[in-house]
Amino acid sequence: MTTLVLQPGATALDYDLFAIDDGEAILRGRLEEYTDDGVIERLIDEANPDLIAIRIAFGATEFSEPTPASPEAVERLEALVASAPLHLPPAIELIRRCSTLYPRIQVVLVFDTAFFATLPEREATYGIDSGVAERIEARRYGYHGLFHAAAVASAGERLKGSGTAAPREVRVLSICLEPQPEVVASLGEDPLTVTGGTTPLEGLPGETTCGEIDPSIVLELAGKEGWGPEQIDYALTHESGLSAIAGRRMNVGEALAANERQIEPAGRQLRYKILLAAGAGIAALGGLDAIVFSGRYRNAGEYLGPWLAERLRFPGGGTSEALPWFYLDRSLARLIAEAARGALRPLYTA
Amino acid sequence: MNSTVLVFNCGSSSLKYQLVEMPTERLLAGGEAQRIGPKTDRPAQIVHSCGGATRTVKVPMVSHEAAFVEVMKLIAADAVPDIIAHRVVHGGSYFSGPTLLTEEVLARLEEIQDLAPVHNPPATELVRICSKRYPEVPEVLVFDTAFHATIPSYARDYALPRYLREDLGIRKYGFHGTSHEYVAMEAARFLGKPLHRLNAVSCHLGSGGASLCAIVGGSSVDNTMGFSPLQGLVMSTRSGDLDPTVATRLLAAEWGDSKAVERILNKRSGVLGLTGTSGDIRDALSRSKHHRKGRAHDAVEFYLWRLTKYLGSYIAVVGAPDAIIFTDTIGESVPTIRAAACAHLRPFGVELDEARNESAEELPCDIATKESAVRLLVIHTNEELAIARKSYGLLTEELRRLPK
Repeated sequence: MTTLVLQPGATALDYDLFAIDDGEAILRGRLEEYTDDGVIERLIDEANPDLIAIRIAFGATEFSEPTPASPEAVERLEALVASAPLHLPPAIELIRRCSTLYPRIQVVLVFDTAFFATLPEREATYGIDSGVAERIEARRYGYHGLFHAAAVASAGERLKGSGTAAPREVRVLSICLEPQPEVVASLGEDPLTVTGGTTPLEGLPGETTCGEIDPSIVLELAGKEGWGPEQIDYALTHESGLSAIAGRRMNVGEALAANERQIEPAGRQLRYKILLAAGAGIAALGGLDAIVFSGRYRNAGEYLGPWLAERLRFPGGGTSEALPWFYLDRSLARLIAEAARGALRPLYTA
Repeated sequence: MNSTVLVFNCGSSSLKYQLVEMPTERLLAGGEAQRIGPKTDRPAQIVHSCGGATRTVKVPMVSHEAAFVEVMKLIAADAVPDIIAHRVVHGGSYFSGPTLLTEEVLARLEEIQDLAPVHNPPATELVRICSKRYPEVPEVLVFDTAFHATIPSYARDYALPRYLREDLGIRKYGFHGTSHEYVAMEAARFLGKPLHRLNAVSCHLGSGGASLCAIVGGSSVDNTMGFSPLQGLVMSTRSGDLDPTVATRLLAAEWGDSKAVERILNKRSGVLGLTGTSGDIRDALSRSKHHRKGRAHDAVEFYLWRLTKYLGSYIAVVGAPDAIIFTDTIGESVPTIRAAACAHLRPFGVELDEARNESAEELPCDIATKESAVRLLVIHTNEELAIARKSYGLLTEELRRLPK
C-alpha cells in the first residue's frame, strides 16, 4: 500500500511517499504556498498513493487516535481552530482538497496530541481557577505523541523477556530530541508526566523557544516594557531558547552532543532541565526501566544517555543497576504512515 | 558582651518584630503591628509579647512610620537596641549576603524596588525611617534572595534573549532563602554534620507561599521560585508553573491589563482558584476527607502532584540527599501532606515512618524509618532568629576587622 504522508505547517508542507510498509521514503520534499490552486494536486497526481496520511499538530483531547477524514471529523477539527489559529486552518483546507478532489483515496488524520488523551487530570490541570482555565483553554496537552507512543512500544519490545516487567507496566522515560524537545514519563502506554504544556513552548528550552519561565516575566514585559501579547509570544517563540543562550543559531543535537569539557551553557541548561524532568518522571512512575531517545537529534543520546544513567541511580532500587537506554530509529514521517495504516486495518477486517 | 538585635519583617500592611539578645539567642520581646494604613472596619493594633505575657494595644497607625513609632514605644522604652535588622524580600543581583546599611546601599535598595513591587517598597521605607530616627544604631539588611546567589547559571538563567536577561535583570532569583538556609543549618546540626557537607532538599511549605530548595554542600543550587515568587509549586493563592502562553492568553483576555493578570495569578489562583472557596490547603484536606470527589479533593491532588514532581526533580539534582526537610506552617504541622509527599519517593530510597510522622510535635525530629536511605526531618523555621544571627555575625566580623 503506497502511503503519502503530508505534514502541513503554517506556511509550508513536508511530504514523504512510502511504497511498502517498512521501507525508506521513495519521494520526499517540501512545498511552499501549498494551499495555492494546483500545488497539492500536482503532488498527489505524481505520487498516486493508496492512502494519504495527514499529520495534525493539535487535536486537543478531542482526537485520541488516528481518524479517517470525514465531514464530521473536519467539523470537530474546526471547533479547535481558536487554540491553534496558525496551524489548523491550512491543515483543514488541505483535508478538504484531498477528500473532495480524490474521493477514492483514503485520507487519515494522525494527531500529535492523541497519545496524551489519557493524561491524568492532576498532570493536565494548572493551578488556576477552572472557569478561567476553560475560558482561555489552559490545559496541558503534550506534543510529539507519535514519537512517544512508538518509543514506549519499542521499549516494551526490547525489554520483553528481560524479566523487567510486562509491556503494559514498563516504566519508560521517552526523550524526544526534536527542535522543541520534550520528555514524557510513561507507564506502558499511559503517559503520566509530560514537559510540553498548553503549547510546545512550556517545558524544555528548544532551538528558539524559551521553555519553562516564571509567568511573571510575561507580565513584566507587558507592564513595564509595554509589550503586547503578540510581541511577547514572538520573542518567546522565535528569539529565545538554545540560540538565545548561545548568541548564535544552535540546534538541539549540537547543544547536547558534547562531552563534559566541551559542552556549552546552552547544552548544560537543556541537559539540566532534562534531568529535572527525569527525576519528576521517576517519582511519578515509581521507578524506571528504560530511557528511549527519539527525534531527529536522537543520536545526542550517545552523550546524554550515560550522563543520565549515572545520575539516576538511587538507593531505593527504583532504577535498574545499569539503566538501559536506546534509540527509536524511525522518522516522524514513517511513524505517521504506520499510524495511518494501523487506523485502516480494522476497516479491512470488518 | 551581649547585644540586642531588633529584627523587622515588614509586610505591605503589617510589621512583625522580634527583639533578640545575641549571642544567647534569647527572645526578649516580639509581636506584630496589624492593619497599618488607611482606617478599615477593624481597628489597627499591635499584638505584643514580652516575658511570657501577650497583650493587644489598639492604636491608629496610618503609615509604617506611625507603626514603627508605636512599636518602639513598646520595646525600646528603656533601652535602644544595639542593632536593627531588616528582612528584605528581594536583593536583586547586587546583594548576595547580609549588608550593613550605608548611603550607597540605600540608593541601591531604592533602585531594585521594582523587582518586588509589593514587598520591597514598605521595607525600604522602614529602613529609611529607622536611619532617620536612630542614626546611631547600625542597620543590617538580610535578603530572601541571598542564599540563592550560589545557584549555577544553567539553573539560574532563562532561555530568553540576551537583552531581556541583561537589560531587565530577568533571571531566577529564588526566594525563602533565609528560611531554607536556617533549616539547612539546623538539619546539619541535628545530623551531626558540618553544613558544607550537607546535601538536602528543603521544603518550605507556608500557609501562603511555598518553595523547594535543592541544597548541595550546604549551598542552594536551585529553588522552585524564579524571577518572582509566582513560579514553581501550587501555592495558597499563586498558580505556580504555567505555560507562558497561558499568561499571554490571560493578558489578551484582560485587554492587556498586566496588573489584572498579576492579581489573578497571585491572589486568586493556586489552592483558592482550584477550590473556589479557600486558599488554605488544610481546609481542602479536611473537606476532601468527607468527599472523595469535587473541587477540594482535586485541589489537594493537584497541590501534592506538583510537590511530588519537584521532590523527584530535586532529589535527582542533589543525587544522594542526606535529608528531606519539611518546614513552615504546612510543612511543620500537617502530617498528611508530608506522608503524601513521601509516598512517591520509594524509588529514591525514602521511607516514611507513619507513627513518627503522626506524632511529630517536638521539633526538630526525624520521621523516616531506620532503613530509609534519606532522613526526613521536620524542623521549625525561625526567619527572625536567622536574621538576628546573620546581623550579629556581620557586625562582630566588622568589629574584628577594625584596627585595634
